[in-house]
Amino acid sequence: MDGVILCVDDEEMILTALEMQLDQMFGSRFAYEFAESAQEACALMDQYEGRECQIIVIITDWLMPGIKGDVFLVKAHQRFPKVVKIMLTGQADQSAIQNAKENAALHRCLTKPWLPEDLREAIESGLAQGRAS
Amino acid sequence: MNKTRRPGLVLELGLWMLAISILPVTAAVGISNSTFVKALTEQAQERLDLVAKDCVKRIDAYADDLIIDLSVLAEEPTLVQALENFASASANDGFGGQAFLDDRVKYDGYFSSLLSKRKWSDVLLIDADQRIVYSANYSNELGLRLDAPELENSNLFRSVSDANTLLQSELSDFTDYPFAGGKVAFLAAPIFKNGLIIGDVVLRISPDDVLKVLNETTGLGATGEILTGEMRDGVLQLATPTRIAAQQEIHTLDIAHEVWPLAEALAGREGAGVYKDYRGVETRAVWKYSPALNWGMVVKIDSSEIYGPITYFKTISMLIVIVSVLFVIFGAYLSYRSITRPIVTLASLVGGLSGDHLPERLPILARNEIGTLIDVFNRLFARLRDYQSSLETKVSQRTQELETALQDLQTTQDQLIETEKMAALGQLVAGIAHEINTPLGAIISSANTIDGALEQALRSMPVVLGDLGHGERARFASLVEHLISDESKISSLSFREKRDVKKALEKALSEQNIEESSRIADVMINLGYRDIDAEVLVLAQSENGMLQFDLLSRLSNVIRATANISVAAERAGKVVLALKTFAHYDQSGAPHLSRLDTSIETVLTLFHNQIKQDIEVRTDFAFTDPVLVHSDELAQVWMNLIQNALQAMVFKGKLTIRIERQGQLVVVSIADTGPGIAPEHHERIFKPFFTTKVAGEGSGLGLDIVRRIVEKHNGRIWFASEVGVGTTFFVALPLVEGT
Repeated sequence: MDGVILCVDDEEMILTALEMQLDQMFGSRFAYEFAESAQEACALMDQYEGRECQIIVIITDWLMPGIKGDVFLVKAHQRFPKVVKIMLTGQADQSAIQNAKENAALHRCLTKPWLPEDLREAIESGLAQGRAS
Repeated sequence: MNKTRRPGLVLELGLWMLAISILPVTAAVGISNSTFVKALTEQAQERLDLVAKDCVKRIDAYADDLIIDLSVLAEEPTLVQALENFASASANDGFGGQAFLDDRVKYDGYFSSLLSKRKWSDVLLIDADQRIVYSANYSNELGLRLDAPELENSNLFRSVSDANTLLQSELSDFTDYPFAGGKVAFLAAPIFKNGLIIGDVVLRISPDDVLKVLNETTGLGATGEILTGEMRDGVLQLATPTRIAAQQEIHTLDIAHEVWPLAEALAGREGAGVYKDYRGVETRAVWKYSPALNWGMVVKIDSSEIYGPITYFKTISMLIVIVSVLFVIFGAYLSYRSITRPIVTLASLVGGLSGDHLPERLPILARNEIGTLIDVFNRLFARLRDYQSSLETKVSQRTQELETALQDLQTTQDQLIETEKMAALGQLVAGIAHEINTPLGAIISSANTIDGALEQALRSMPVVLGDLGHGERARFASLVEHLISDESKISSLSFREKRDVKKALEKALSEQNIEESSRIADVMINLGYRDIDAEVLVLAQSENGMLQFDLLSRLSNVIRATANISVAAERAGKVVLALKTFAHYDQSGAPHLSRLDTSIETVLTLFHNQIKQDIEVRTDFAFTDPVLVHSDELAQVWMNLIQNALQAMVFKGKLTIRIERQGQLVVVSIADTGPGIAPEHHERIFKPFFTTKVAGEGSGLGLDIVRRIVEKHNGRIWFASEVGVGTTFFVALPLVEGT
């Protein structure tokens, strides 16, 4: 198993869709974690700290209660700079995307609704980039 | 013309002019009058004195002359001879004898020349025998003795006896004398021969002679008069006829008042003064005693005559005053015409001017400075008119501009209102995009999942199912049964719970030495298992167990994805419906029955993604009956108020919305837990373009529009706010009859 893909979205239907889609795409190649808020995601990340199985991809929504996606990614980036960060959002502030790009090395910003290929490509290319560097 | 309206100036000027002109005239008249009276009085007094003195002097002189003439005559030899002749002739032959007549012829010439020279009335010769022996005028008393009854009481007798006894000649009083037919006086002187009295010569004096003296009224004017009086038998009587009342026989006079100066004079006193004479007329008089005649004498002039000039002067003065007054009135009229009237006219014209109407020009009524003033006014008016007309033009221009501006403003306002609505909508749209894209993403993703899962399931199904033994087939069927059972359809677990369940399952499976525990745990959760299951364990340990799990997993995904699509589609539908409701504009403009709670719910749906973040929404809709309203407009009200509340709280806090009925009102309250409204903003909160939001967040029209909409519903909007606690907006709408 290559690692864990962490999905963060306040909408359960998105997480559910992602759960099935990622399972279909990658099957057991990755483990998957789902958090309904940035706080929950942070807690999960704490759990994975020091474990053998690492979080390698974060797919996050932007507009969420509490901590916004870009802020969360910046935080995550400070702790896990190598994690591939992907934003999957229905609507995002341009300045927020800019913030994530500059301070969180945002790999891709996908808009809802998204195409499965785009998601796959984002993950694969992100991981490939990580391996290359 | 405006005299009645504005008498002030005219009256004042006229009165002043009157006073100024009459005062000096009256003063001059008064002063000269008193001076004049004094002078006239003095002059009259002087004149009277003079006349009186002169009169007395003349009478005295006359009397003295008579006495002297008589005494001279008495010693004249011719006369002595004549007496002797007449006495002897008459004694011898009587008065008709030749001798007597001869003597008369002889002496008549002498005597008539005397009479004509001296103006005596008669000359009588009386012999020693007391007989009247000669009368120059041939009087009837000739031959009578003095003691004859006719003469006994006459002055003739007294005069002769006085003269003979006292040897003194004195003019007698003027008294009635039977032979003269009127009053006469006598003056007798004894005639001596050889030291003996041989007779007397007597002069008969007619009062006319004295009156000639007395009536010498030169300097006495028309009313001047000399009164003479004597005491006869103790009674004061007028000695001579009066001048004025010549016809009247005034003998006895009331000494008490009418003739008291006469009495004074008779008493030997002289004086001057004012008294009322016998006619009752006021006179100025001087009185004196005339010793020659033993008369009291009063010289008097009527006061009216003395002061006649004054009366004249007074009349003239009065005339002058009247003429002055007339002149003044004329002058006042002239000044009224040339000064006052123009001023008054000007004042009233200028006073009556209104801004709307300026006169063409004021009629110039004077050629003096006032004329100049009016001219100036006229020019001023002309300029004013110019200004006015240009002003009117300007005003109408400006008005048009303003109207245009107002129209523009109204258009702008309409646009702004629309803009405000669109801005609110625009803000929403950002959220709405998310709201729609999220379920859309879920749907597309889930559809994609179904597509792939179904394909894989269909591919593996023949292989998996074909390999199943009899017992396995039943187990698989029960698992499928589990899969399609309700509890598995939509996972009632949250991802956090799922994580925990999975962890527990994974652990339990690992303990059973089952490989791919994570994968099997996932499938188990998707199949609805929460705990380890014996049949699942058997399957997991079976040879083709993993294939079966895969197939079940694909099938489960198809079911879950389908369910997810339903959920997402429902969400999307709800958002679209809310949006449609909000954006809907009621073209009919007529209110219709609508539920306020539905309307508010719709708005809340639109705000869903903003609210869900950190807002705790509490709704208490105690009143849900339909109300006759413009629902689309009210939606804007709720939208605005809720958005304000959310923005005030920065999307974190408690939003409480209540709908309740209060009598004939339905009251909606929207409370936030924001910072509250600063007291200094309370006044202006509903004013258009007032905003405390940063540029771009709001136009400041929101609450103005809200207020307009509420007022359009005959409702009322107000708020209660406490800094640091929050703000509650209240909207009260009347419940219209029948709703």
